[in-house]
Amino acid sequence: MGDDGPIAACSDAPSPGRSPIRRLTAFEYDATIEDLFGDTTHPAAGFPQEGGSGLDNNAEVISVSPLHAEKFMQAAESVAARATEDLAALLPCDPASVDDACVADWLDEFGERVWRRPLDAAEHAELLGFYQEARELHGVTEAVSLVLQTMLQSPYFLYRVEFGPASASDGVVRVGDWEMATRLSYFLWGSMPDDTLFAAPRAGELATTEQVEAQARRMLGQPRARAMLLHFHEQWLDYAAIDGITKDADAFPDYGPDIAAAQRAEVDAFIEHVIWEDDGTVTSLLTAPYTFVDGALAAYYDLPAPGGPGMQQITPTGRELAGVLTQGALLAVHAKPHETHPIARGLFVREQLLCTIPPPPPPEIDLVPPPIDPNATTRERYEQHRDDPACSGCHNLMDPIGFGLETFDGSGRWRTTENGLAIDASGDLVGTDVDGAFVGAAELGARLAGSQMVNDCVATQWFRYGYGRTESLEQDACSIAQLREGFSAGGFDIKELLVALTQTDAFLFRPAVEG
Amino acid sequence: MRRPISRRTLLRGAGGVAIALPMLEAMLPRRSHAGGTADFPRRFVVFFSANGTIHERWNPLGTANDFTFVDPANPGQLRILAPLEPHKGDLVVLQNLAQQTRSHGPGGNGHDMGMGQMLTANTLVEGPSGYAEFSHLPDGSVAGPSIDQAIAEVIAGTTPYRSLEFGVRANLDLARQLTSRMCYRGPFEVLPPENDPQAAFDRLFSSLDADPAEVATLRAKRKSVLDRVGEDFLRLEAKLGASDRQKVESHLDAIRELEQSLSNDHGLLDGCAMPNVPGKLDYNANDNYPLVGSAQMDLIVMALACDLTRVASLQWSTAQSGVPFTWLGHSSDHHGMSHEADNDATIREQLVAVNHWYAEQFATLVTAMKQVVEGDGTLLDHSVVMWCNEQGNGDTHSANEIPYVLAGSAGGAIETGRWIDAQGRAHNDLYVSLLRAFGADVDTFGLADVCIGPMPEL
Repeated sequence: MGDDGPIAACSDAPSPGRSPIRRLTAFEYDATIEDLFGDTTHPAAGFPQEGGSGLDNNAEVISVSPLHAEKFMQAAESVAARATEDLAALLPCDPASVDDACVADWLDEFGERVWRRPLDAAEHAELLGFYQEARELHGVTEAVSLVLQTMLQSPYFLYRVEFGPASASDGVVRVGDWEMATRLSYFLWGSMPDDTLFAAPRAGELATTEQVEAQARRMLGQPRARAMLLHFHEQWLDYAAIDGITKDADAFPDYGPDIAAAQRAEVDAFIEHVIWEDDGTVTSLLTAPYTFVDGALAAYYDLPAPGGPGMQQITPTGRELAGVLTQGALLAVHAKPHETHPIARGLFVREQLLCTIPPPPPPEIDLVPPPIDPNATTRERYEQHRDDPACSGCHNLMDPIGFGLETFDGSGRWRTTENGLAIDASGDLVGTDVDGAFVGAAELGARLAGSQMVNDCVATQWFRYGYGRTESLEQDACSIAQLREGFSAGGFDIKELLVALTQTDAFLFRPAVEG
Repeated sequence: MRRPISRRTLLRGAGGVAIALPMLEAMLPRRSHAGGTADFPRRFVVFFSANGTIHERWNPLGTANDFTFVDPANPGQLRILAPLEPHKGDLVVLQNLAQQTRSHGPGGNGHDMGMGQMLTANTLVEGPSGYAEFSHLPDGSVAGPSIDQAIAEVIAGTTPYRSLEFGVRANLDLARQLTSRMCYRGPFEVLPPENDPQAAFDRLFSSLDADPAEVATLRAKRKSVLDRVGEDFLRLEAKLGASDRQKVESHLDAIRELEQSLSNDHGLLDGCAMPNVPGKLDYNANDNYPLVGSAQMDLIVMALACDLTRVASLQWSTAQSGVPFTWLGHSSDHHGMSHEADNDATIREQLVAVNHWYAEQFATLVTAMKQVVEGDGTLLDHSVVMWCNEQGNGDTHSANEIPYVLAGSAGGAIETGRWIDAQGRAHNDLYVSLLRAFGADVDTFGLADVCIGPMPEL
């Protein structure tokens, strides 16, 4: 990368844009605790939900309430209690003869892992002093536990603190080496660095753009990257609500928690397969003719039983699949409890895939959706509603996209009729770079896959996730251009986009911290 | 059944410690009240339900001081406020308040603005990105604190918790934070609700049985840890740029508040009793919605009765609530129905039933607060419970006919048993009146431009 000539939007001086201080999300907290202690109890499960702009890691909207501070305290207490159950595993010495020298060594080694940088001498002395006081009062084990609680509630654990190199002065600085290790690990893994990544700043090997790229490529091969990818997709593709979804028992008598859970497994398996086994492209994400089913889901979808246990890949005949567009979880979430919701499906495509947000309904107008009519299809009812000129301007942007997915009912199941009437799955794309009529999910997927707007939108969504903020078209013009070029050069493979995200001004630099 | 805790001590915020030991009577400072109500604390509770109402089925019948919620000519008709008939002497029914703030500031979506402005009575603000495509403020917030926090400022005293936020499936909409949160300390300082009643119980009540010596030790340990952590925060704060410093500062404030709650020793009130243990339940399951709500209300009443806090809120779902009322046999969801009621009689009846159900819940809360005796009166007498909504009419997203019901008189400061037509007055002025009833000397709240002053009727 970077050898293809200058990017027009970029000048000689790097323009990193805003770089708000990041705090570990609940997802990152749990993963970090697991990596630090092997503790898989998900202590952050009860943290308050937080986020904005569609993502849980938007650093600029999140804040810590007193409830949240209390949850941090309780989590630190329970993690520390479990971690000190086996002092031998935690400390670098015989737990029967723990002296201050042992604890001092432990603080150096473990402190560096918890705070993701070496402790300075003053910090080390303070923690050791704190330990000694606590040991006098409560004994060794409890004192170690209290030191852990302190480290886990410290801003140096909970936040990703960055200052850049101390010498910086000119308004924009390169992110420091330890800080870069942390940036990489929380972006690509949603967790702390591993030993290899920690070794890099120690050896001064994260100082160049190429070294950052090499680490990124290595890291994408690790299991943590898979978990992060799924975590991003459930937010971007807005299907997390499949967990615990309720469908109307009269409309969907065979739908229950087991099917919802299977649809969650289906979409996870599908995305993992596209990214890691297939070619990883946006095109595959939007057009793949296969999905994954287990026995129960195959029966629900009226597909042949899979050949093996668990989720099995299947390419059905006689029906059109189009990647994530026809994933049961997405279709069931973007629907009403008792029927489809073409507007919601169309809005999803516009907002999440095209990054264009239609205006809201004007205030004080009657927003009457079409009445239930047992002698009409959902589409026919919504078409009448779209005749109103006050509504049609915006609804023409959404409804006809949703109509193209009408061959899937409100629970994500393939259908060819509704109320005894044949489904009309013709649709229309308006206000995009791939405008025009289409019929059905497969054509919609193929059309979107050929859209530059969609590819740019995917890059934008990842920008927001990777950098924990919404883009600024001015300040981030260079980074966005760098991203798009990297994505395009990588054949629109999501994995190449992830590497490109580590190569931008926004990732490699930050504004100097004003005194 | 609740059990009295007159022989127990109280440990705040000590989830997890549950060692029962007998207590010394001397360690049980109960505040004595000579029978009057003047020295009982004042409380404020917010009760939110979404998507507007059906006015002609919500409105009382009769006159301002003599009204009923049941139509004598048509007693079989389901009327929304009928469950409150036994309590009407303790109520102020307020119709036609307006969110005049909706015509000010950025934003435009009725649910975003409705929810963000409901308790703040203020404009929305754009986020740091300046991104406000059409009406949505994906990283935006509110311009000022919500009324519950403003009242807490006046009445919280030294209670362990300045306020407590409870939710029933009040899940965050990641893309539209504004539609799913209602309590704010200030811009970008949101107070998320606790949706899990068992977690709330553990936080507030689980340690009532703890050994005082254990309690003292645990508190000392926590204080030492938080002190140490606080020093890290202070040192870091000094080195950060302005916007990062604000984030870290507000985190440190939360830690200081937590420390404060560990040091605040004060007695229990007479009405304090152990609430029911909610038990582990799937609090996000739709069918558990009524059960979770009931558990949360139980906790709210006892948190107030024990003076753990004086300000609480209960957020049923979110603005644009998509909860299907399966337990009433409904197939569509609340938000979906709110847009269908005008041309579908069946759905209209179901929507009335949804709002009637919320009135039943409000009545349950009011009843429970009446059952807590405080001096010559009850917990309800010393409180105001405010039922609010982010819309007037769910179908049109109307900002002009927002239904409010107040219960309780804040210790006689508000004359109850009345039905008031606010005739489009800004809801800011209701909050000015409430702040005054709680003892604040204010003429405006929220966006001052739309304030006239306290409502003369209150």
